[in-house]
Amino acid sequence: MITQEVLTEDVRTMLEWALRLYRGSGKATNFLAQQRQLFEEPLRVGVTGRPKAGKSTLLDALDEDDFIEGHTSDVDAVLHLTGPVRAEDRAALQGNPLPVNTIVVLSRADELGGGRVDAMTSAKMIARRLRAEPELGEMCQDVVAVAGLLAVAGRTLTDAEFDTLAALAALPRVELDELVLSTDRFLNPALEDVVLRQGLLERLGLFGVRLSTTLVRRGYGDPSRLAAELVQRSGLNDLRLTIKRQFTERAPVLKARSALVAVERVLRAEPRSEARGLHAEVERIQVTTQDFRELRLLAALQTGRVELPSEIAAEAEQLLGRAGTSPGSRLGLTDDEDQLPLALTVLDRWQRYAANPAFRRAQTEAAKTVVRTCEGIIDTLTR
Amino acid sequence: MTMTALDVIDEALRQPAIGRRRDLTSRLSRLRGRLADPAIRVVVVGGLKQGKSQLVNALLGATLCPVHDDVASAAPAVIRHAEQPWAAVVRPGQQRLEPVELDRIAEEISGGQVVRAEIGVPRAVLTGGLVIVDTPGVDGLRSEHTSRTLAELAEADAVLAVTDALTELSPAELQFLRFATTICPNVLGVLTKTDLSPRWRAHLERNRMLVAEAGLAIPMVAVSSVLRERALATSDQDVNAESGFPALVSYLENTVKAQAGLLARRSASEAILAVTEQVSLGLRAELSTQDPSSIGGLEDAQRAAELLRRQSARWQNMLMDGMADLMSDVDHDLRERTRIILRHTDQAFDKADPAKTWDAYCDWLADKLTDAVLRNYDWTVERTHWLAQRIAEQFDEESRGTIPDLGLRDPATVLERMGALLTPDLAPPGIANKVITGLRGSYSGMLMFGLLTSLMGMPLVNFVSVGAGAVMGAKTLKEERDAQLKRRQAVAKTAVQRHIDELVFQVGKHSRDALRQVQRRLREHFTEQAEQLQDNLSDTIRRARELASADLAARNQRNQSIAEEINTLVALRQRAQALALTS
Repeated sequence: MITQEVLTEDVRTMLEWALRLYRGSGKATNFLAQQRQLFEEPLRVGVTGRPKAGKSTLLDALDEDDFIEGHTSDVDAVLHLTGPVRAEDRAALQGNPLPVNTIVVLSRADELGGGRVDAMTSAKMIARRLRAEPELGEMCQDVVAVAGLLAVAGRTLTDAEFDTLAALAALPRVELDELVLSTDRFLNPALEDVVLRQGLLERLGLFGVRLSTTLVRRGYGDPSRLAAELVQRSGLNDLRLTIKRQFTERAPVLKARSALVAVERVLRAEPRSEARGLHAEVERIQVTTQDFRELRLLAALQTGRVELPSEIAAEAEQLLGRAGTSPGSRLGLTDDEDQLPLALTVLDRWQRYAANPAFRRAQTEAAKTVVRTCEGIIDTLTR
Repeated sequence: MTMTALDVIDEALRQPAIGRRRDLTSRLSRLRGRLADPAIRVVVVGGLKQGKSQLVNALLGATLCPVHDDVASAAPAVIRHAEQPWAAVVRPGQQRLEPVELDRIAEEISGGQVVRAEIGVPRAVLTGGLVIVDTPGVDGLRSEHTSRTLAELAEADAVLAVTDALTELSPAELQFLRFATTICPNVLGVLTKTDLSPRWRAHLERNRMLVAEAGLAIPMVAVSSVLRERALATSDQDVNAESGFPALVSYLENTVKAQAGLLARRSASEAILAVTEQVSLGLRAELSTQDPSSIGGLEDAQRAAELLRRQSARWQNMLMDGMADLMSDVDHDLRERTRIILRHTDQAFDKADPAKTWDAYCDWLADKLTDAVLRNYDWTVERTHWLAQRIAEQFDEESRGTIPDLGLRDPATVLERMGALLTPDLAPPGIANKVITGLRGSYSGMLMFGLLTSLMGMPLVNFVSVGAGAVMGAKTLKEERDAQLKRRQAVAKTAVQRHIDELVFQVGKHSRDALRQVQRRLREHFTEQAEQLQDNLSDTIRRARELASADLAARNQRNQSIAEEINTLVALRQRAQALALTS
């Protein structure tokens, strides 16, 4: 990784510095000591959102140990869950001092589309629109649509459930359509197997039942294929990929971010005249850390807030670490190839882009950031 | 006798206290217009993505309002009964309706380039004047969409508050319901998407409980637009029943429409209660304060009078000082001019013999003196006007420029009366006089030299003594002639001096008299002006005093009428309350 070790080391030193400086204050010392401990621990992701936004369902679906419900002060990154994005969501997202650690999740995405079989397609389009929206785009790294219930069901689909779905799919078309028209009809006690259907509805939701029976009819004839397809369609894989790119691979950066924000908070809460040096150090790390810049630019490129000519946009995203932050994955080479010559050519090319007079200001700034990334790659390779 | 809602509103509009408040009368007039219009407006409101538009579409069995998975409705749609279907939109910045095809109306509404849509469709549920208004979703209480929705809410006879059955009411939704009931008392809660929610019954119960806990009287129905659409497509009464829509339609038919009168009375009652409350507050506030405007007027007038007093002292001083200065200056000017003439005269008569040049000199002197006196007069007139102007400037704008005819008499009469310069005795001595003078000189010379030569033995009269006598006589004659010239010159100078002194005295007296007259005239003029102003002011002060004292009386009267108005308003409030209770 390029500058992440340096960053981690800088932040660790900064934490020690802060601890020394605030030795006299018990409150600050406690807080900072806790932050130092957290800094050495794995990345912690908080899941936030309104009540009933589907937080526990999504946690079930993701099944990650370090993801916790609720926005507490000691998380490094945030998944914010919402249905249609409302004013209160925007209010909740505002005020993040370094907004490189948030992903907005349109949970219950199936319900946005009224539970129709194509609801997820529609929800993904909404997510794409929101992602490019300048206001929301500034407040988060990405917007992803997920049908949590479907994802959980897909991950844990039992054979018995599959059998019930298969039996339903085998019904005549008209009869099935009538049955899945409403939850009341689906749970009609006059029909047999109502207990089984009730269980199925609890697990999949009406949308899940409609989609599953349709898929079985289309030939997803065994439990594992159906389960995989359900997970795929739920948007869970997209979310996982986004989490991996935005959070996991950048874990040291996000940890550093948490530590920086924490030290800043202490500096604000208990201002000291002798803390000026520490203040400057916090600022220096924030401004010079290439990863923060990369994260912001990558998000801007992916959401369309900054547009580069299409032929170089993909290369920029790759260099910025979209597909991974090792020099190899940034350059698009395998690790055993000789990466340095390519890195030098790429640097040369991006330096020319940065000096291209036809570029707009935002584009020039983006090119400059990529140039610094290239310099980082070369630095890593020659070390 | 029971009063209709319109009667009570008319009564309210007749109240002078309400009539003074244009905002309130316009509110009541709007309400009156709406009540007089048989249209019953049912406004569909709710949060984003709750299924409002789909509810309207399902109710009317047509795709009129935009239904979309993303935010769909951007403008209110007003749907009423019409034999022939039609649709129109109002574009931003315009007033007029622009017709559009009914098929495209949903697209137009979601497009964002529309402020309002109007739709007419033939539907049984819309007969009897029912108008359904679909609104954009309420998101917080701030956005532009929200303000449009709230504007519609203010005009509502009844409100369908839509929330989906997937979750129970959120605190924000509950707050909005509370807000809606304060604007429109007739609210029905509609729980949508029951087809999607396995737990809609639990949510319905929970919502009813939450609403009751909040102290709101909002009945609730649960519906499924999907089932309703299916029912309409297949004409299946069972599915229709399943959709929950019959309860909604029955609410519209049996509560909203049938009780339109009651709704109208309730709306009127609410509005009148609100309006009278506001007006009563204003009246009570007026009772407790005094109107200071008339007293202010009196103070203004008194201030102006004081100013005038100070001004009049100033102009009188100015007139006196100005005139004293003017007189001394005029006198000096005349003396200066004549002194120069006198100097020229002295120089002339130092050399010339007045006896020879007198006539020519007299003409010159008359010219010079007339010129000097007239110039001095012109200058006096000029100065007097200037002074009058300065004094006039002390008065206010209106009297400025009204300077009286100064009537400064010119000194021509003085010059005439003075007459010409008196000619002094400038006659040269006669022959006899000369002979005697010559003989006197020659006699003493001849005698002096005759005696001297007689000592030398010569006779007393000899050629020497005769010669000496002749020389001496001639010398005496010459001396005598010079002395005569000097005398004439002195006499002439004295005569001129005296003449000029006399002239200066006469002209000076004349101009002093004239100036005093001018001063008197100016004083009279400006005094008159000042008196006029003073009278005006006194009148103003008197009127202001009258007004102030009359104000006291009027105020008492006003206080009494306020009390009466408040009583009338209380009676009106009672009628408004009764209006809501009669069924």
